[in-house]
Amino acid sequence: VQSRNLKCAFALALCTIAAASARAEPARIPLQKGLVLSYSGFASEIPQQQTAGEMERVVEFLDRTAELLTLQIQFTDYAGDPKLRRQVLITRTVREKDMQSAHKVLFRFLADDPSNLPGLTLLHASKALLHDLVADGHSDFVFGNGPIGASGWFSALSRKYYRGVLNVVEPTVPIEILANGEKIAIPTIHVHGVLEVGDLTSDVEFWFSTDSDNPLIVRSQAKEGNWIQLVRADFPVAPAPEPPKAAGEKPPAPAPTIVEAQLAGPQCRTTLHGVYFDTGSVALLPASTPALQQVADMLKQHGDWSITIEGHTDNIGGEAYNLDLSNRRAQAVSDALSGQYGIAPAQLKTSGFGQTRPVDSNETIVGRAHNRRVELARKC
Amino acid sequence: MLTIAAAMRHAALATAALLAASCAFAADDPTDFSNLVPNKTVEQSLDALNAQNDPCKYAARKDVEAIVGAPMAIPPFRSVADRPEPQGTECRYLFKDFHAFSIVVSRQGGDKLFEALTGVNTTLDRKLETPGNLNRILPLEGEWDEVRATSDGGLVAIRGDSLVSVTLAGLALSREKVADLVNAIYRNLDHPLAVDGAAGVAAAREFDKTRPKPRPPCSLISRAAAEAVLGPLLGPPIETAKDCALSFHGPRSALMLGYVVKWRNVYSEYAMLRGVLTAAPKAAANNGEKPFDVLDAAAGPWEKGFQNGVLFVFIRHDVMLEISAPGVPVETVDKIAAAIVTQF
Repeated sequence: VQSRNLKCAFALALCTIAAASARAEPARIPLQKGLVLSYSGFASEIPQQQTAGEMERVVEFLDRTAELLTLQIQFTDYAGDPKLRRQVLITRTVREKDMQSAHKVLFRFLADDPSNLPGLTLLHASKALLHDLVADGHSDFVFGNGPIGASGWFSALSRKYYRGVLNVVEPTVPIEILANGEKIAIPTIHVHGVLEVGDLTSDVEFWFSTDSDNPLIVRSQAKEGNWIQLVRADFPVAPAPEPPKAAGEKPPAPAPTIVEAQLAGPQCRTTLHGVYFDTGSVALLPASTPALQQVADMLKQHGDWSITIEGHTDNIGGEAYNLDLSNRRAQAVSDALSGQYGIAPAQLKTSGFGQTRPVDSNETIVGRAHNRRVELARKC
Repeated sequence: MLTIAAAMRHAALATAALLAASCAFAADDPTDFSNLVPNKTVEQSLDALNAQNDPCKYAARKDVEAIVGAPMAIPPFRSVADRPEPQGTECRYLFKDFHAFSIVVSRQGGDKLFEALTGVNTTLDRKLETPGNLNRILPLEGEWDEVRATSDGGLVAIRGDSLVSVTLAGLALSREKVADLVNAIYRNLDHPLAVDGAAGVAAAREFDKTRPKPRPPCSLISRAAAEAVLGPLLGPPIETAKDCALSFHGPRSALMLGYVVKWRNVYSEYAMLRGVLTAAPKAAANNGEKPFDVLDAAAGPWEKGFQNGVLFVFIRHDVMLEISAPGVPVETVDKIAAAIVTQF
């Protein structure tokens, strides 16, 4: 145990160094398997309720090959009626050639769409679109979306294809997001277009990441008021290369994870990144699986550990609502660990703190995303 | 069956209404007469507008014949619901045996038409539990923003607010070939061809005269011919305006064989009916009813046919025979059908 704790301390130090050096480099989100993007936004068609119209959506990148990008969009569809609320998982693919060259972006998904629609990208600009905007200051563009201003990503019936020209407003705008729990500023290019289909007009703005390897839409906004913005990106970080092993040497035990290292550290506490809930609900989204698996593996390895799962929220919705929500979310994580991953209930306790322990400002969208979190505390 | 038939009628009506509505959208701008010579009469202006909206201006005859692999019977002509009309909003391309396809081009307001059309079909798909059967989005790359399959083997595509619809009647073209045609139409949208679809109407009306003539249904098979197959009838055939019923002795009880003949423009209906009935077993099973599988008809004097044990459908020369004969052996129905179809 002592040896493992030493390893944990070492891992923690490495993580701190890695995080510091990461901050020095240009902020990039790698478009790779395991990347999970969380968006927050406002859609007038979503019932206000306690979320005041603010909603979250999660996109998990399931695979990336030389030909195809596979992603899954995970969110709650309200269908205009809270009683019809249901979790929606939409798995779609984008051809790599379209990631390179398409000038058409789809923002609305239909129930009967095939898994791949050639000639367009989903929630991303293509490399060529970004290039045209940077080089020429404008580009032709087609935007597949719902009715005017709608930011709902899911529809049962139809969408429209708005056409027009995007013009650059500002070549570089940093937008702050949380990347694996750390605040970073992603450089974006801010563009505007008045797009049309028939007698409908869509006055839209986009902020595309200027990373040509991953020109994702960091923010989009319709003149009518709906907007959506990337607030969190969680992605696997490649482990440091191992030193060469001598012949016959036993392979070393796997390095402790950051979660394990922090729980083993002096604070006995960590924030569990990679846990995703539906907006205002306790339903865990599938993208939470790797994080829950990691905690389960850790608790099985440390059968003597007892942890408290803490739920925290932002301040939207009021104290009583948030206290209840945080308690139920903590319980949902505990239930998943014991029910799906076989962790002994005796190792798990739960506690909800609502909005009482913010780690960031509740005045910004990223701050609120930061405050909505699950922490783990080890009894030490 | 009644529910399906009612639903299909609804779909047909809805589609017709939508296509009719498209006439209103079809003009580039129906209120913009600025490109017309001043002092012309309104009538002349409308004629010019009508010519502008000619749906035959977007697909060249030679291209069409190359895609189909056969010569057309007559030049393309403007039509409404397959009937030649100088101001028709669809263009019909007619081949041997009245096989045809029609093109509808809606250069403005097509998005609304597309939305309504796909909405109706998606709703029908759900009601009939035939997901995507009437309205499947295809992963095909082309000039369009989105393209959907139709149950007759055709395509309906949208680019911005420009809709292109190709419906097939009796032609067995691959989706790829239809897609080639739709692509060609989109490429011609801004460069219309020098084709006058109204000029083909007269020839089309002449050609129509070669169609099988509608006749009273019971006149299509004599009582003696029916009894040669069914045995003695229990009474004379009972005829209404559209159908004919024959009653006869079955092995255990009296049986009835009733039929309806539809005399033109039925290839699409045939395809749609077959599509719905093919998907119906799932719906029937879900409702706890006995499912009826759809099987192709044996070879006969018809172009094609199918049956599900209750409903038997045959088609020839754009005329469709629907026989309802629960409990009657397939071979018996086929013999009656052969006698009727040869009269088309």
